[in-house]
Amino acid sequence: MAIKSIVCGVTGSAHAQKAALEAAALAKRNNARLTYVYVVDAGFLKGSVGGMSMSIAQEGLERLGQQILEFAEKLAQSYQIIPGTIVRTGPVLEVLKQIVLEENADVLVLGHEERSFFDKLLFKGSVEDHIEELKKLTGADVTVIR
Amino acid sequence: MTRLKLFLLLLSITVIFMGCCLPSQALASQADRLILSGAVYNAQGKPVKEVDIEVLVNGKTVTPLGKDESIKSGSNGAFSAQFSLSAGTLPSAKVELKGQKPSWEPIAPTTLKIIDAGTDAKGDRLFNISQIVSLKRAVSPAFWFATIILVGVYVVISFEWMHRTLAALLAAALILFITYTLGSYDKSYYILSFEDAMAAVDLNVIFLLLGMMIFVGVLKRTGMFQFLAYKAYAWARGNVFILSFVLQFLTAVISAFLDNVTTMLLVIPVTIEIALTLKVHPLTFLIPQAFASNVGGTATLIGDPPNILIGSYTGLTFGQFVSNLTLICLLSLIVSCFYFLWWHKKEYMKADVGDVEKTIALLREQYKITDRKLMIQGLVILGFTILLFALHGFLHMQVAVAALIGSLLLLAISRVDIVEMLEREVEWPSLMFFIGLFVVIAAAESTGLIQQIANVVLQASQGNLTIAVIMILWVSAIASAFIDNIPFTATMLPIVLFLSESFGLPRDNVLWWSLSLGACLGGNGTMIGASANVVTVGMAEKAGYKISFVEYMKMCWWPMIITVTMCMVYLLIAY
Repeated sequence: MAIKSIVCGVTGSAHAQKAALEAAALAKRNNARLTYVYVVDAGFLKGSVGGMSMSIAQEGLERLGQQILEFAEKLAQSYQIIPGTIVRTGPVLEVLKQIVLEENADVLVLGHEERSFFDKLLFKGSVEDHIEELKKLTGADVTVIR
Repeated sequence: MTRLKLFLLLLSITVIFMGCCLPSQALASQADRLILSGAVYNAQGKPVKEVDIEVLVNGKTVTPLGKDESIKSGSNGAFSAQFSLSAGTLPSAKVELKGQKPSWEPIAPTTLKIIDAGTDAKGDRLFNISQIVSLKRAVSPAFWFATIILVGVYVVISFEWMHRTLAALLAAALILFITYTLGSYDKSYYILSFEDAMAAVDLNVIFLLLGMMIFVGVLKRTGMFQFLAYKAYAWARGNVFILSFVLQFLTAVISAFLDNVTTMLLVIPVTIEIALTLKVHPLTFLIPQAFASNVGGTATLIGDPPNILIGSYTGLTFGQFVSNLTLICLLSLIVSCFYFLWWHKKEYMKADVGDVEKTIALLREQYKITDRKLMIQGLVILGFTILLFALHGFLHMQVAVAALIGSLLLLAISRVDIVEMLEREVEWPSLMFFIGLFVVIAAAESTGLIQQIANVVLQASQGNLTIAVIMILWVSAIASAFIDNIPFTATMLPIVLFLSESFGLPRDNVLWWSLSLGACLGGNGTMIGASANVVTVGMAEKAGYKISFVEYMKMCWWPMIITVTMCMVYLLIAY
């Protein structure tokens, strides 16, 4: 199957940066369109703070997301790829699903995120726990870069 | 004419009725009149209100004169009643008193000593009785319900099974529901009346928080917080050690007057950007900042919710908080700053400073003051409000009044839309959380749970104040490292009050400072110990910079232990 469109979820983590680079290489090999996505999800604050803090957190994360995507763009340029960038707010899984469908992506590239028991307890859920679900919902192949 | 006739008829009836009544009154004046007065206290000598008192004469219950057929102790524990009995009854009668109140052991029938007080003008024989009654707590079903509900709230909040506001409000509603269902049939299930629940809500705390939220809501629009973080970089001129030190100090100072969580949320993006520019891991700046935020918040009455709760409950003034806590907080801040500089020295040494001037220019462009006029207005009025905080004890004014006048004056002058402010900037869930929490704690107090805990603490301290100070400090610190310090402090307030009274201490006593320092600084030990930590770790993780629970503890547990130990030494020396 020819890969025409790739979506890559990006954060500032080393794994995510590696994923961004791999996605750029994949785009180069397949001459595919590449879209980097940063998802603003301040849902982890719901249990402890109210609306004002949520909006401040979202604004802050949006600003950070722009910077992270700018950095990822530079990584992609090392493969002579000019990626599209999207910062969108919402639950990570939901937003990734939307964007994969919107971009008609064949592949979704994600960086692996290690989580301890306490981290899972505190910042519930990880996209990696829902890879099969994502594949089923979007029809795209999901690759996790370690 | 008809009206005149009717009037005359009514007048005649009245005169005849009065004529009939006069002899009977004259007859009543030959009665024995019993005047009862007294008060009900608990084991600590504090008045107990709403105790149902019953008087028995020769084994039969007698009804008091007047509108109220029952006798209840008032808010000061006092009760009084008069009884009219057939002439000659009292001198030889056995008069007993008994009483009851849900969650207290019933007062067993006690024989009262009657004092003959002579005869009044009407010819009634007067008898006086004065009785002080001591009431003991009972472990009733209401006690167990209140205990289960309080523990349930802690567990649900700790594991985030439910939003903490929903948990607290649901618990409060459950308390009232049990009171008015099971409690209506059986008084041993009666936990807390609606009136007492409403009286337990400390509006001073609610309005103080509301006022300070408005301040933050206005000031955040000015870009001031981000500008200050950029300024920290400009002052440090690329020196990472100085930058980290200045960022920590800046965060601590802001947190002493404004909400820690909001302060952190506003400075986190700038800090991450600065860290990335320097190619330093952002958490090496962020975690010391969160730590400093909690230390700074401890220094004043308005800096951290536990202090707000303590201040409002005890009536301790802003000035008393500053004079008792600021010095030790400053020392703790200096020590923790140097600790973190040492801890992260390898990472800081690796920093790639690059072109400082270029970075300063870039940050200056990004983090400008967006509304200078609003910032000046906000800061001037915040200064005025802090002045009012400093004077509130002298003016006998609640701190909430100072916060409200300041914040509302700011809205009036700046013309910021109050509706938008109330809708978007005020954290109603947090305020409702406090309301629910006050009711849950009042239920625990009303049913005797708090008393039981306080007795255990008193016994454990062996009546020694030094042990009590150390115990409250460390128990608060360790507990606050793992559970929300707001419900913890709310629970501890009546316990510390009981201990203060048991030790015969004045109002502004060392136990309160012990609670404050323990509850506020203990939260620094883990990533879940304080809201500022959760927010910092969460924001950093969302940006891709994660830290595990254990790594966080490795970084912060020891400085927490060091700062709390410093506080212990300070408390033992200074008091």
